Amino acid sequence: MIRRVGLIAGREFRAYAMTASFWVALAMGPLLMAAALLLSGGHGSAAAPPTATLTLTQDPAGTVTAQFGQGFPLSAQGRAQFVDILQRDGRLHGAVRVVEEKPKSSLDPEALRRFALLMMLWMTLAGSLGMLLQAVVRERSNRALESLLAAARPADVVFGKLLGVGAVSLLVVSAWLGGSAAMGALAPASGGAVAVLLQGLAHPAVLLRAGAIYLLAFGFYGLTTVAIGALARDNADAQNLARPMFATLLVVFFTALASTAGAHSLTWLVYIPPFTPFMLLIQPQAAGVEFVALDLLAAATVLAGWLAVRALRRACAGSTRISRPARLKS
Amino acid sequence: MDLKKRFRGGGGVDAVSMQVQAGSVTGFIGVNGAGKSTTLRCILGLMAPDAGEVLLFGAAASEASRRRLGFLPEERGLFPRERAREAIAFHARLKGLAKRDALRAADRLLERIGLGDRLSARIEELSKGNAQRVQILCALAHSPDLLILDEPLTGLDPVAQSEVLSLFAEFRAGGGAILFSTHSMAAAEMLCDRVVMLANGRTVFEGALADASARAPHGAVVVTPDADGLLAAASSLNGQIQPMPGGMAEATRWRVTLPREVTHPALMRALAERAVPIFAFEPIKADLEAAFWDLAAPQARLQQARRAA
Repeated sequence: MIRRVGLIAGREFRAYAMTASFWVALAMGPLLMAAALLLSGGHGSAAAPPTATLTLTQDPAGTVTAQFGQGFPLSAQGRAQFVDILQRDGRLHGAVRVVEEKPKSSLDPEALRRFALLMMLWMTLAGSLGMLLQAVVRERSNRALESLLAAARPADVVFGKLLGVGAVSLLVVSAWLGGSAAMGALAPASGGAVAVLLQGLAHPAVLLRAGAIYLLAFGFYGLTTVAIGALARDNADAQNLARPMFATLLVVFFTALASTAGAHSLTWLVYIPPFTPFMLLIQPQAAGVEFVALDLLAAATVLAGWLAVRALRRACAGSTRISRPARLKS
Repeated sequence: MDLKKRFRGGGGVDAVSMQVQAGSVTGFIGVNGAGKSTTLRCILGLMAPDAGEVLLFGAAASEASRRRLGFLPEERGLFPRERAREAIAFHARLKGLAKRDALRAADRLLERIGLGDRLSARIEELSKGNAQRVQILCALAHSPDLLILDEPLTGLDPVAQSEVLSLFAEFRAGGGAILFSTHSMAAAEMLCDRVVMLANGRTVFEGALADASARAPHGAVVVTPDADGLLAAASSLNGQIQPMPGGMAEATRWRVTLPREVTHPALMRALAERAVPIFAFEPIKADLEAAFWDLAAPQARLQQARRAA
């Protein structure tokens, strides 16, 4: 079985990857990132320079508020000692409340990183699912599937196609993530928003987690796509049948986006398989939560795989109904 | 043997039995909806029969025995961007050939059909006929023992047809058996030494091609406005008449079936004695098509009537 899966996967991979246009498109991601990095330089949206300021204000009740600037060169303990010295020197009277200046820059590197990962993985996934749908429908509609199924089992075909297109998809994701990591390492420390974003991505742990989550998402959505493709008789049918799945994917995207912006009330969605990968991408959860969520996703993926194999088997058996019986007039 | 497969919406096969002998070419003939595709799918393992059994090479069909089958579907589909050599080798490897052997077989077969200089051509770069020949090679590359072909000559020009037929002849000469389903009686007569006729999901004839042709009815097609005169003439010779489509406004086309010992001149004499006006007279040829209409058409009409009911 593994041999046949490998053969079918290799054929699918070559069908997409052995074209000049694919490699040009693949290079576009890292090139665009480099261009954005060069164009943004250290200007425009650069973070505000650090300030070493201490602002003292006294309210009518006599309480003094000491607000340290973001760039004040002392730790929290040092700042407390500094205030203590000022009190002992008699420069401050009454109770003193120490506060931190709120950051003036709107750039939150963590939020930016999550957003960028979400965009990259979601876009690649949506594109790859389109490829996978075509890969199934193409052979289903012209009944070439029959000659394939005469030599291989439905499960071979399902997993061969999934792995073949999955490898293409992983190559695209790797180009994006690898390009991000490389650019992040090259970006100047005092760079602009793009540099902040890329530096946030240039951590092996972040990239590995994103890659693993992508594979989980592709496994679940990919098998669902194969099942849909096997049910469709032609391209138009496939587009109609796949619409609910792509609509779900869109809802997932916006929900994850809302979570990026701090909508913590949506975290329970991590337990709903279509949402699981993206919710985990946006916000790592406690080990127990992730374990349960991943178990549910694995169960849903197995179910999608079973449905895909069943749909493909039925598709081939049912294709006999396409031809209409001849009408004899006499 | 005694295959049965019914579908919820109707159709399928009820009692199909046939045998393909080693080294023979067996034509599988029937109108659309007769059950040919369903039978072939059961043989190939694409669907499981409700009853009956598929025996391959003397034993119950298994994954191993199905690897000894080659299959060419009616509707062909290869990756347009795939190279001819790779496409053939891919199918051979799916059937268990090692990569080197598969590529060697692909080279040999492409050379054999005159495409030796186009080994690396993509399918989309080949003419339609050449692409179809490549698809046929996909079914042949692993040297199967039984080749199952669904309308193998569709879309091929006469030159390509003759090359493909010589490929099949070569395959058969090597001891391989061929089962091919077709609507074309001419193709069946050209290729087969045995035929299996299917109608309404049942085998209505199985045997040698010559035996099938001998089953063709004897008689003539007569176009005349005088139905009573024709009936009287046919009855005097113990014959029967049936109306056929394709008559004229003032005259009907009739099929006159006669006992084998009654000659065509005898029928003409009987018609002349009754002064029956004859607009056209055409003896029925004792060929496969005539036999098919005699054996399978009544069943097909029955099937059509059942559907209408």
